[in-house]
Amino acid sequence: MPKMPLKVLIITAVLFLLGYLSFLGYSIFTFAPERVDFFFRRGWVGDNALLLFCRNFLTLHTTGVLLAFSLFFKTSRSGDGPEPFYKMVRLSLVLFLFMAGTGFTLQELAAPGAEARQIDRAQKTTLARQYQADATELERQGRYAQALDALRKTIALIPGEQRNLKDRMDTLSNRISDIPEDQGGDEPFLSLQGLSARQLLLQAQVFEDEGDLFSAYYYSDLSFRVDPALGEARAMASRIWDKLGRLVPEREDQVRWELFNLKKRGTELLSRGKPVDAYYTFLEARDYLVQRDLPEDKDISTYLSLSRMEVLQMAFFPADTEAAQVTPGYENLLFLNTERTRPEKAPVREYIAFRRLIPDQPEKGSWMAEGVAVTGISAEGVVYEITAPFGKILPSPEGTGDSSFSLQGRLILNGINPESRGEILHPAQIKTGSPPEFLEGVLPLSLTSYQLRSLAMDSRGPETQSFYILWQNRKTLPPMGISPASLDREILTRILYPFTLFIAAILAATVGWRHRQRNGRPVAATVLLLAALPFLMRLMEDIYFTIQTSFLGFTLYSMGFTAALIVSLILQAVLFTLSFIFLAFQHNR
Amino acid sequence: MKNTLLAPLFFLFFCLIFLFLVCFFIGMETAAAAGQAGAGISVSCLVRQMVIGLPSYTPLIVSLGLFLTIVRLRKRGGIRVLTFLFLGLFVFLVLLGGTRLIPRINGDSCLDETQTILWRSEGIQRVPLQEGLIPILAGGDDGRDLEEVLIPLTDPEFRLRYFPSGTTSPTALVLSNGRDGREITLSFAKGYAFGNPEREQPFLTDFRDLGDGLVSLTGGLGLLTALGLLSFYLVSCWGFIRISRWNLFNLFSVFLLLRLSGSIYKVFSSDLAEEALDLLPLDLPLSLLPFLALGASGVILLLVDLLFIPYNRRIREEEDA
Repeated sequence: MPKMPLKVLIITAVLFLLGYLSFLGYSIFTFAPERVDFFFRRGWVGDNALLLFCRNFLTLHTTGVLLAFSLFFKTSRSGDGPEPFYKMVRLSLVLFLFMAGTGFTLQELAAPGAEARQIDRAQKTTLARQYQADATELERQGRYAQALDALRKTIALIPGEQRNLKDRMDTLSNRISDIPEDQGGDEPFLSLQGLSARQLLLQAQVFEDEGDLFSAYYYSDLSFRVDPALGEARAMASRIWDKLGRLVPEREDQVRWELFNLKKRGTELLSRGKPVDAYYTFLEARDYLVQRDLPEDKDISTYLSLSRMEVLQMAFFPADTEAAQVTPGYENLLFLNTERTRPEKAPVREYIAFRRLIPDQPEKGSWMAEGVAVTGISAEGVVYEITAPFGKILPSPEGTGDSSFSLQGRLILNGINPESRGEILHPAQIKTGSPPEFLEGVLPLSLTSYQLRSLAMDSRGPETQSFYILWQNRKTLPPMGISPASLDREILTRILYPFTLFIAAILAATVGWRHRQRNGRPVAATVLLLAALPFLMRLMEDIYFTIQTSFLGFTLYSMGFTAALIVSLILQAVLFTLSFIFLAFQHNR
Repeated sequence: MKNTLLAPLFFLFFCLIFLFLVCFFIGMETAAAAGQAGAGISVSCLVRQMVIGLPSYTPLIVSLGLFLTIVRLRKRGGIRVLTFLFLGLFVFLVLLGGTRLIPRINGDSCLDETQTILWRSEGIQRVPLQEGLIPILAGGDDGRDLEEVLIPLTDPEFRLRYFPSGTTSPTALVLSNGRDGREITLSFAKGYAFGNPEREQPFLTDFRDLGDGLVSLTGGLGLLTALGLLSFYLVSCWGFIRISRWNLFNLFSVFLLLRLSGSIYKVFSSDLAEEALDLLPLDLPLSLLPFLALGASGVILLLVDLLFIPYNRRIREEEDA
């Protein structure tokens, strides 16, 4: 029967299509606007159908195989002897292997993405409705600018609300004279990361040759700080500083003299590791130019950008928090940051909680936290407690660290106004005591942003994560308090899934063939009842997975992960062999 | 006649196989739960847990045993009436034995005093609460008495609440409020209760509820009536192994009908059924209602079998072939 695999493929494909359409219909019917906004309906329905399809792939596949072998192949009535069944199905086995691979791929690639998008839609809806409620309350209190801002955030989360909120926003706009504009600069970006001391020195030489003494000084000083053993760098920095001192313009040229002093002071502050002061100094210089209608100064633009970059390593700007408020993230994170030792005192265990962890520039390890609470506890009780409305998480610069714990990142707690010197917009509040390493609103973190994101697993559940994420975090998450059993059991279930798919298909082919329809067509009532078959298959799977879960739990606790994996694989091999033996017993008569 | 006499023997044999499998399943679950709590378990305790769990699983064991017996009877069922009666009698006896004899050696669980839902207590642990919060619990050596509990609170502002001590029960976290000494009980999220670390399948819970319903019945006549009606329903599924020319469909039909016994029990023991019973001018005991529903369903199945499904269909078909 050379057409057998093709027939099985067609029947399975038809069943997959019917299944997907059913899930689509079910998703349309069960869409709940109270949980997810109507704007996301199309995406939600599509992703929900995809998720249901991935979760029920095994059911649909085994049902298809069972139906194909049970209903669509006739018994041979030829005079020849019975032909072994395995000869007829060997090509179908290749198809089963392919389907096992497809099922595994769908589960690992498509399902986690769809799951994450569903969570994001629900979060966006919750946030947007919260902002809308806030807007109503603020409007009632007469705080029109804030109310308008809340409505803007609603629209940023759900663009479809723009039409509904337009009149309301127009009314609010009419009521207020000015609305704060979005801050944040688009200054040129200058990256010095990854340059060696020697390269920095060469760059300084280039600047000196070009007559750009400010840049030459900054680069040579930086080169010296990167490698203090590089005497040339120190000598060059000193030499250029002297040159700068000799370049003082005439006192009569007031404007040039003022600008020169500002630039010199800013460069010096930047070199001394005071980027916030340097940033405001260069900002002052830029404003000085603008106020006098003077052309742009290259030194000022460059160093404003440079100091801004350095400022962002120890503070964040309002633009960061505004973006964070309209971006979905991970909720309710709580972790033990570190245990700090103190001279002649009991050690302090520092716990940090984030209400929400929001991606900022995740590829660079930059995340925002909305709602930050830090508590240090020793044997005497609470030693310090800090809260902050926002925090920014950045990876730790290479080469930094602390003897007491592995430094993986920094939590920046202060948000500053980029246009107004000294104005802290989002201050961290120290409620009790003061933490030993809490310097200028920057708290060292012992976890990477990647580990932090993975911690969200316990609120989303390990089944929502891909195998890769689970495996990556197998060792790192249990010390943070996540049950190792739930992780290991999920990992083992994922490893066994393709085997389950393949063995279930072989058994379905065997059972379907053995109990195939005989002597003519089935009665109409039987065909009508076909719809019950997937539910019955699902029931069988539930029984199988209940026993498997129990077995995995037992082997994990009694033998450990590696032994449990080996035992599970041996068991799969036994099931595999048995399924082939059952298959070999069938024939075409 | 031979097939008629062999049918109950095969039924008992299959029940023994499933009895063994269910005991193994309960043993695995118990050992996994004990392992999760970081405690060892003795063989006597393991056996005790199996014995305690068995009455609830009796309807499941009987249904699965009967299913295999019916599959075996599909070609040659013996003398129809006698096979039906013999099977019915043995189903009744196994149900009676499973739900009434075993509870007599029942007792308290040997795990309750030492086990908690927490896993090995080295370091910190996180167990989600029903409110959606996930506290951090730093445990004592036994994994029960906690030394540090931190809970993130959002009202009125986001902050961490610290409790210097706490304890856990199988289903909840119990904390002492430092200010007035009042105890605060926070339930763990569903699915984290002891012995139930993962979500349960409705298939198992329905059959277990049916088993628990049988165990909880008191009074000789009521119990015998309930067991009789359940046995009648289960054996009445037999006829559906011949319902069509498509064997696979017949197998699944019988399996589905046997599984439906748990669902029928669940529906007719719900609050809705209780309210509906109040509307009827009948003085029926509430505990018997699900079994009466099962009996009525059994009558329907039997009528379909007698009126529409020829007993010798398979023989005729094979002769035709």
